[in-house]
Order: sequence, then C-alpha cells, then structure tokens
Amino acid sequence: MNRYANQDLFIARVHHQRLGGFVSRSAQDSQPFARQVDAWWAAIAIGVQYGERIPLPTDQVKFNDGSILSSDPWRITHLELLALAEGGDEMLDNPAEVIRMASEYANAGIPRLLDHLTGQPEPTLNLMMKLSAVTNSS
Amino acid sequence: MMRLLRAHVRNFKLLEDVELEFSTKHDRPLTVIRAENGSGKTSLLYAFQWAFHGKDGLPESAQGLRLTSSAIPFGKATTVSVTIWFEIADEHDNTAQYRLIRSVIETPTTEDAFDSQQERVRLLKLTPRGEDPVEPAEATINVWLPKQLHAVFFTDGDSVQTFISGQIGQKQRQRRVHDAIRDLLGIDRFRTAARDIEAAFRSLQAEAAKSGGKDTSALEDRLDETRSQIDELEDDLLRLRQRQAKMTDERSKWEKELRELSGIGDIDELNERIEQAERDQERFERQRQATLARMREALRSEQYSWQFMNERLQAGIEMLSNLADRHIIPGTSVEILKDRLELDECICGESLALGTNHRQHVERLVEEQLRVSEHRQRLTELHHLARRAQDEERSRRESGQTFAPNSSQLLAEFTDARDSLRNKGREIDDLKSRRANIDEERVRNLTSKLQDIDAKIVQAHQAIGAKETELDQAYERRALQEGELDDAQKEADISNELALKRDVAQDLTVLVKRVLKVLENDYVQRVSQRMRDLFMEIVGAPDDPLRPDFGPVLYAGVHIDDDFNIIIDTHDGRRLDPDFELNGASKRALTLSFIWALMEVSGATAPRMIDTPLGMVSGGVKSRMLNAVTRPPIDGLLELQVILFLTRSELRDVEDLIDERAGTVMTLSCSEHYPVDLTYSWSTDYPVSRICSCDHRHSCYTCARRYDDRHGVIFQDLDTRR
Repeated sequence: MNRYANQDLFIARVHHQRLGGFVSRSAQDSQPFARQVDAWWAAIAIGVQYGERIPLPTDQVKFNDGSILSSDPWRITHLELLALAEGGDEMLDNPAEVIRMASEYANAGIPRLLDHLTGQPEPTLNLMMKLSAVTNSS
Repeated sequence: MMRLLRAHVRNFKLLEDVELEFSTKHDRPLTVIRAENGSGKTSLLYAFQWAFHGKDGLPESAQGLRLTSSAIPFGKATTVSVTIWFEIADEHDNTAQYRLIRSVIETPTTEDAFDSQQERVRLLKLTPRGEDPVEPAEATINVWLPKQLHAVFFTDGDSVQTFISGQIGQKQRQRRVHDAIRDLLGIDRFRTAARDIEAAFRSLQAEAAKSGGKDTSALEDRLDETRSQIDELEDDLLRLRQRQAKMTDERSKWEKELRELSGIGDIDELNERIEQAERDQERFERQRQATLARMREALRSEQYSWQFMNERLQAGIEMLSNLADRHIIPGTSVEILKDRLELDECICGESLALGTNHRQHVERLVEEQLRVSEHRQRLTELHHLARRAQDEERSRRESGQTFAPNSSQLLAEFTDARDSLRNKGREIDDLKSRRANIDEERVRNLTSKLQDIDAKIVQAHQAIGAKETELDQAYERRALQEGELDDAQKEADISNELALKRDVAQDLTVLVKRVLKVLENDYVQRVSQRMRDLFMEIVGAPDDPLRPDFGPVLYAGVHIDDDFNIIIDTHDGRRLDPDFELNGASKRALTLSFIWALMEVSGATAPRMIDTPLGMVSGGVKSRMLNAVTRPPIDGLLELQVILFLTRSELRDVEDLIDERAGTVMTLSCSEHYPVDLTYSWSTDYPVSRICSCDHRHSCYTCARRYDDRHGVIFQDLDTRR
C-alpha cells in the first residue's frame, strides 16, 4: 500500500520550467529523463549526497502526486529509510512530513542538476560524466 | 611465333621503373596484371605499342602527347625507354631470343609543350657470344608484328568493340571489319599486285588509244580527266575517313573515361562505399541512441539511488536493526493475546473465561497494543523490504552491476559510438566530395565534348556519304568511257602486238580481282564460322539448358555477310543490330570472338595483350569468356600467349580459373590512390605507378586496398614500397 498516494508533489516554480526542458517521453529526444518524477528523484539523491535541504518557496508547482511512486516501489522504501535517518520512526506516521523532507532535498539538488544539463549539446552525456566524476572521487 | 619474355619500362608516364615477367608455359599461357582504373594500365599498353612501332604505333589521339610524367619539372631532360625481351620461333620450332630497346629524351618546356629528341631503336639478337645487332630494326619488327595488326594484338576492351558498335555508320563498320580481315590475312600484297596489273593495263590502253588517232585521243583525254577526278575524290574520301577515324578514336577514349567515371567504374565503387558507410553510420547512430536510452534507465535506477544516498539509507537500516534488537519489531503480541482469548486460557495458566477479571485485563491489553501495532507493523514491513533491498544491492556490488561501473561502461560505449559516427561522417563527406567532383566537373566536361564530337562525326559521315555518291558516279562514268574508248580503239588500226598486250593485261586484271574476291570470301567464311563457335560457347549454346546469364537463349548464330556486316541471327528468324540490340556482355563476347577468330584463321602468333577485357561482364559469361581466350592450345594448334590487364572486379568469381591458366600474376598500383583507396602510403612526393609480385589472392604494403578483406584478398606482410 502506498501511504503517499494522496500527497501532492511540488517543486519550486523557478525550477519547474527549466527542468521540464530536460524531460521527454520520446527516446528520440535524447533527454535524460522520461518523467518529472525521475528528474525529481535524481535531484533528491544529489541533495542527499551534498547533505543539503532547502525549504520550498511559496511559489511552487504541483507536478504529480505520490501515487506515481508506486511505479517504482523501491523509491518508497528508500524514502522511508531516509525519513527514518532524518526524523526517527515517528516521522513515518506523518506522510506529509516525509514528502516535505524529500521536496527540500530535491529543491537543493535541482540547481546542481540544472548546472550539469543547461547549455550542453549532449545533456544526458554531460550529466553522466559529472555524476561519474563524483562517484569516482567519493 | 613471337613470345614475350620480360620487359623493363622506364619513365613512361607514371611507370618510373617497372619490370615485368611473362608466362611462357605451354599449359599456362596467361599472364595477369591486376590493376585498378587509374593505376597505369593504359600507359603500360601504350608503352608496348610505342616500343614496337614508335609514336605511329600509338592511337592517333595519343600520338602528340608527351611520354614522360607531367610531374617532371620544366627543363629537366628525361630518358624514356622500353626494353622488351622476346623470342621468335620459326615453323620448325627453332627459337631465337631478341632484345628490343626504344628510347627517347624528352624535356618538358611548358604545361603543354615539350622538346623531344630523335627516337632510338635497337634490336639485338641474343647469342652465346653476346648480342648481335639486327638491321634494319624497324623493318624486321614489322615483319614479325606488322604495324597495321598490332592495334588488334595490343588493345583494350572498349576499342575492340568498334568493330560492331560506336558512333560510326554502317559503311564504316563494314570497312573496319573488311580492313581487319584483309590486314590480318595478308591479302593486301595481293591487292597491290592487282593494282600494278591494272596500272599496266591502263598504260597499254593509253598507248593503244594514242595509236588509234584523234577520235580515240579525245576519248582518252576525257577518260584521263575522269580518272583524275576519281583520284581526287578518293584522296578526299581518304582524308575524310581518316578525320572521322581520328574523331571516333577520340570519342571512344572519352566515352571510356566517362563510363569509368559515371557508369561502370569508380563511381559504382564509390556509391557502394558511400552506401556501406551510410549503413555503418546508421548502425552507430542506433548504438548511440541505445546507449543514451540505457543512460536514462541508469539515471532512474535503484542503483543510482543507492550510489548517492547510501550513507543515509544505511543509517535508516541501522535504526530498524536497533528496533529489531530491542524486540520492538516485529510486533507480534496482539496475535498472541488474541490466540489466548480464543483458547480461554492465559500463557500463565490462568483462566480467561468470559466475565473474569483476568480476561478483562487481557482485553484491555489487546486494545492498547492495537493502537501501537500499526506503527510497528509499518516498521516491520520496512525492515523486511530494506533488508531485501540491501541484499540485492550487495549482490549487484559483488557482480559489478552498481551505478559507478555501469556509468563508466556506458560512457565508454557512448564515446566509441560517437567517435565512430564522426569518423564515418568524415569518410562519407570525403567520398561524396570525390563523387561530386567526378559528377560535376569531369563528367560535365566529357559529356559536352562527346556531344560536340558526335555532331562533328555525323557531319563527317554525311560528307563521306556525299563523296561516296560522287565517287560511285565517277566510277560509272569511267566504265562508260572505257567502253567507248575500247570500241573506238577496235575500230581504229592498232597494231596486233599492242592490242594483244592490252588484252592480256585486261584479262589478268579481271582474273586477279576474281581470285582476290574468292580468297576474301574463303577467309571470311572461315573467320565467320570460328567466330560463331566462340561466341556461342561464351554466351551459352542454344541447347544448353543452363543459361543463367541470358535467360532464354535468343541467339541462333552469328556470321559475317558478303558486305562484311557482322550479323546476329535469332531463333525467330530476325537479325539483330549488334550496336543497339546486344547487351554489354554480349557485345564484348562478340568482338572478342571476332578478333580471336581472325587471329586463329590468319595463323598470326603474336602475343595478345588486352586491357580490361571483362568490363561489364559477369557470372557464367565472364568465366566462359576467360576460358575461351586462355585455353591452352592442343597439339598441332597455334601456340598462345595472352596478357590480360584485369581489375579486382573483373577478377572476382574467376579466381579458380586464373589459378589454373595463369603462369604469372602481378599487381600494378599508383601512389595517387592513397589514402582514399590504397591502405598504405608509399611516402613519395610525386605520383608514380609500381608493380609488385602479389597475385589475385594476395596484397602487400604496395597494393593493399581498402575493402580487400571483404573480397577475401589476404594481406601478406611484404614491404615492397621502396
């Protein structure tokens, strides 16, 4: 059961349009992400990597709701492990709080993600190279 | 029988220093020189033509050209020389060896002009004592290899076709066939005798006319005038025909070049390479796209999440483990208490019957536990899922399937595909630009030249037709006047002796002309029959059920008619025009059959050197054609020596026959073909053609070409470039 299905997923409006430029369902477009939620999750991971959470501004855009997480159930597991590590087991009783935590990590990760993508002739390749460099140095 | 042994060509066009050996084996009469277009085949053919007969031996279009390479700087005197070792066998099979050397010093002065010193020719007989000069050299060579014949013996696949096709009228074709038969069969000497006798007859006739008085004298004057007109008309006609022949020769050369450029030669190979490169490009693009798709998968994968959040995820798992260690999870007490209530007995043995205080206490405990169990249940479930996810990630790590190695692998694959795409793109650009150059410049130029010369050939053809009509009328007038004169002379008082001489001369003239006609007819029949046999063998006999190349056999036979037309007969009684109604392969088959028949019937036994004889021919026809022209002679028949210049494409599918028939195979290549076609550079700073000993199945650093491996040519590590 997905306890986050009723939670709306938001990102800051300032990032929404720019990030949307790197999302396409068509494989021919060669964009790095097929769905907004994939870009959002990639940003969460980057935020966590840098240990940085930035609260969402009031000007935000809903891009989906938590039911989308059911398409990759491991994400719910990872989300809850992250919540445990961040706020202890009580945090799990509050799905809204869990999603807020994830959104703050994403909000910190998105600008770094956009830095690797914007202005690149091959954005997917560049992102992979940058991430590969991070993994090799860590 | 003349048989070539070896040759050494120096500074002839791009043939700076080329040595050749020829097969002299009875059972392997074939020598193959493998060479692609532009490697120096035509230069080599010209070198032999020049060696035997000087510049007169070259095609008219090449007679005014310089023999040295255009890369030789202005003012530098260069010696061009061709040396040929050969043997001559007489009818008793006594053989003697000779060395022929022709040389000239050329000095280029401007782009188009050059100074040329007198050519030197030496013919030496090789004896145990050394070399004895043979004089006169030119005349002796001309006996062994008559000048008028060598265009048949040293020729190329396109030129031989002019016997049956090309932009010439029917009369010219008839004349060409007639001339070839006459030249090869030695009838010309007989014709000279016929002319001499006719001249004697005329002289006697004039003398008789003079002694016949004024009446016959006037008739004789008119006849003389007509004869002068005929002489002038014949001269005019000869000049016109020579001009037309020169233009036809020129046209044939341009057409050949055009076809090589835009039809059957390089352009086809270029197109094939462009198509292959474009297919490769599509394949690399698919690889690139596939790699990008796998990158997208990697970016949304669980491995990615583990890679960047590992520390925090492990912290979450640690907390769950602590809860498990403290037995807070899994939360199973509610189920145990419910079980005990159903059994009405506590685990301590106390009764839990309805209404007892103990039962009420346990029921309160159940309610309390239910409130916290949802939380524990969630943690228990998470603990279970987290452990499973952790085990899976551990297993991926052990097999190297985590995000980091995957991303490195994907980056390498992407870089490979992208680099291959770029290289392929550059290759395609290069090939297309080469094709564009061919198409847009040379082809347009050649097409325009061909259009111009076609118009001029048609004009010359019309002028020849008009002149022939005029000449026919003059012949008729002469015959009439000769009759009148004869009658007048009979009436006049001519001495018996003079009249007798005149009549004998007249009878001899008629006799010789008739004998000449019989001889020609006999030869024509024999050539015709032999040509038919060879042609039908090559294209497939009519009753041969296996005719893969031509479909249903159309041809019933082929013959030369009384007017020297080469005629193709069909099964349904039609006659085909070889120029328009034969495909390219059949044209080659027919013309080769014709000249092979000529050579066999004439008994001429010079070497036969043909450049690109198998162009436009493929499949069974190709192997049957090669089989027919290289078959070793059976006892009692003429000895044979065949030297063929063949491209890789001509050699394809007949390699086994070459193995069987060729005593020698060599390869001629040109440095200019690097890097587009040749694989290795020769490091020369000027264009040059060189020969190597590679046969049709091998290549080396000199001759290896791109795509050789695709056709099974094996590279051997021999560096013959220097």
